[in-house]
Amino acid sequence: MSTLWQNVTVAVILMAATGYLVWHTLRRRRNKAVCANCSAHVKSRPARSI
Amino acid sequence: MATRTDAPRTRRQTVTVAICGNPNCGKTTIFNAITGLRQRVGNYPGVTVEKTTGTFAVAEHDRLTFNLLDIPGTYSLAAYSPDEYIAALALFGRVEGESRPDVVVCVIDATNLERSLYLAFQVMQTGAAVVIALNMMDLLENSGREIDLNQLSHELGGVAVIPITANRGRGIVELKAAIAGAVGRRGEYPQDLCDPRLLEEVEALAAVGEPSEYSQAELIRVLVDEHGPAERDFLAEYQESKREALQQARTRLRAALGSPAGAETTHLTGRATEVAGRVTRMHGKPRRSPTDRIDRIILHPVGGLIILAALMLCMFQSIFTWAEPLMRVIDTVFSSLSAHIAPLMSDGPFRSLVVDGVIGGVGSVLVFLPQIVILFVFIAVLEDSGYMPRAAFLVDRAFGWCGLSGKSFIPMLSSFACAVPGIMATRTIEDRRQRLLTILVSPLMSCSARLPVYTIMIAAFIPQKTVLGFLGVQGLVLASLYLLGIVTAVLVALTTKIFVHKRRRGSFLMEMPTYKMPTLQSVAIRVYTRAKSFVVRAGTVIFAITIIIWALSYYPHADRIRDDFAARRTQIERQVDISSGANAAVQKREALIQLERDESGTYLRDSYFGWVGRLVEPAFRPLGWDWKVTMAALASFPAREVVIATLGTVYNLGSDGNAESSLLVDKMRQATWDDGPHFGQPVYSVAVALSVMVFFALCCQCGATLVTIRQETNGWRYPALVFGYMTGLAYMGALIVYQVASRVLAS
Repeated sequence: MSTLWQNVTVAVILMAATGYLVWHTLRRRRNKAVCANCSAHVKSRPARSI
Repeated sequence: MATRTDAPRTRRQTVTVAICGNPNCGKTTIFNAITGLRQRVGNYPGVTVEKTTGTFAVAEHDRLTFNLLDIPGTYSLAAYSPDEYIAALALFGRVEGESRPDVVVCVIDATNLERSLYLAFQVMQTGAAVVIALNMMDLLENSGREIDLNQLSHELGGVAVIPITANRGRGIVELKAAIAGAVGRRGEYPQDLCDPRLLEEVEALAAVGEPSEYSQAELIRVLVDEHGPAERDFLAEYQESKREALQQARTRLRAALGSPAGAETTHLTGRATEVAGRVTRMHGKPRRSPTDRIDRIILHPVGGLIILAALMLCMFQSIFTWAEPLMRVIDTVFSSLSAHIAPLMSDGPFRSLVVDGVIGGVGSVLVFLPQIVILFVFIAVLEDSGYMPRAAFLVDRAFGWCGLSGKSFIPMLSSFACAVPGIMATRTIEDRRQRLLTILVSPLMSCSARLPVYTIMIAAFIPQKTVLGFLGVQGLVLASLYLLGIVTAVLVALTTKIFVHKRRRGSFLMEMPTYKMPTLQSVAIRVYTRAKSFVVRAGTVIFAITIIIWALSYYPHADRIRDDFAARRTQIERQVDISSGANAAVQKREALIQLERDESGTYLRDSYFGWVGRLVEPAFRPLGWDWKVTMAALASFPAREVVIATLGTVYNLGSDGNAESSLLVDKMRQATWDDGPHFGQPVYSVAVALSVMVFFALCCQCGATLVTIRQETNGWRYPALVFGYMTGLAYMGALIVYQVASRVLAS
């Protein structure tokens, strides 16, 4: 593989890695352990703070 | 029938079943036995803070699908801590996504009937169809007692009472049949479960003002639990008329019964004592249980602490001793992978990415898998055997004077595995300030992500000596780092107590569960889950970060450096060709290897990573760090393990590719300063290793922990505080350790 093609491949991988990290950081976490029990999900109750 | 759908009769109907009980009554084991779902079986109170659901079917009831909800363990519906309140809300049908339970399975510890009946009575007050699962029947028989099941059922208004020995799977089929049989039956429970005066006031409160959607059982909680979350939510939801009615009802109750909560406790405890007395029979003399006999030794004020210290030391020694051969195997696999792949690819950035970045970076992290596994085998065995609450009890005294209680110790113990579940476990702490304080100090406990950093530094720079003939210095240093986290947490708590809020310590009440032999399945599942999470993390987040770090360390890869070194290479070859002598070929080879090493180093220094590293290096030079260590530490702020991957990538890129060993440990030993006053001298020494380890022990380099603190405290204030104070502590700690250690070791 020529250096140019290697650079292109690396650029694609780099963009994918950056995209994954951005998605991983910004995604709305559906963490069952927190979400299912947290105060925001209790019916007709105001959100509680500790 | 209380089912969830109005579908035609031929369709399957879903029945919601909730399973509740005191902590450590075997509720989770029964849940697993019924549903077959994999779930952690813990021993100490508060382990079921998360919601778990599963489904099951019952023979001869094939039109019904049963949805089983595991409710956090609680002693009473009088909720003050967040997880107790969740348990109460789930039983009242107030948790989003879950309907009001059609059947409630109340798990009762047969060896502790009187205490368990208290909760059962409160569950009956909700009006749900109740099935009693009388667990631990084997332990009851061993203690020389028996319970008249028919009499108990009669005393409880005819509910089904099913004897169970959950850990041996006895009685599960009968329990499932009893659940199916209870569907659609509303309980006709004894009328005297609630004080008549209290009931009168509940009805009066419901009748005032706008119609209330609160059930009778919920209104009991609002009236009885003064300043509790039920009252707070009620006040937030209703207008002035109901609030006034609540205060008036309380005043009347106080005049008639004294404290409403005290009156409820006296009433229910009295009923529980009566019922338990009528249904329990003794045969023969009461026997001392094995748990009592073991506790005489384990909970001894002095002996217990010695056993605890010995167990901890044994754990840390084993992490080094047992993991070593497996680590070598994994390292060999990655080295040979690298050696096989490199020649197949042409020289260039993609090959460097695969060999130096991916294999060098992620491989360096995965080598630590055996140590993680050993750590979690120990933690799983200690938790499943019932030892952990005893450890909390033993150290409660040490925590009391600094403002933390034994209840804080449980989240802190969990934080040794990972701070995220540890911080979530603080929901069991009723006192708001104590909970916040525990959240602030829990990340100081050395989690499993710090282990690779400790072990690589210790393996590379702490000598393999023994003291007193049997104690390894490496294990002692590792134990000291874990101790450092605990001592710092105590000091932070003490400082907060002195300067922020001066409070008397709260009481510490914790149930000691019976000792159990940890099952191989339970330990294996927990270790597998942790190991999987470690590998997945290495293969996703750390993999992605490694690629970015590789790119920053590789580019711009300037042509002028290549041309410069090509010219120097030609010059060396010419010079050696002209010179004669026996050693000419050897000299030429050595000169070319040195040139290749210089070229790699120059590329790295010239990279974006190197440029930023040299810019910030002066701030970390007092800690004894060069720019590579500095950048590895800074890059690991999202996740600690990244430091290993970064060092793996940087030292791979900076090496000549002919290194004698592929081990990161060896590369770190060979690393030298590439500029400045220490040029050519080794970067790492014992003092630098200690400084790095102390920094990682005290620093909050974990994005997941900060996000969890934000979720648990509803804001960014506390995550910012945790990050700020821990980073400050880490810097100061590393600075002091380096300055002191380098002077002491030099003299």
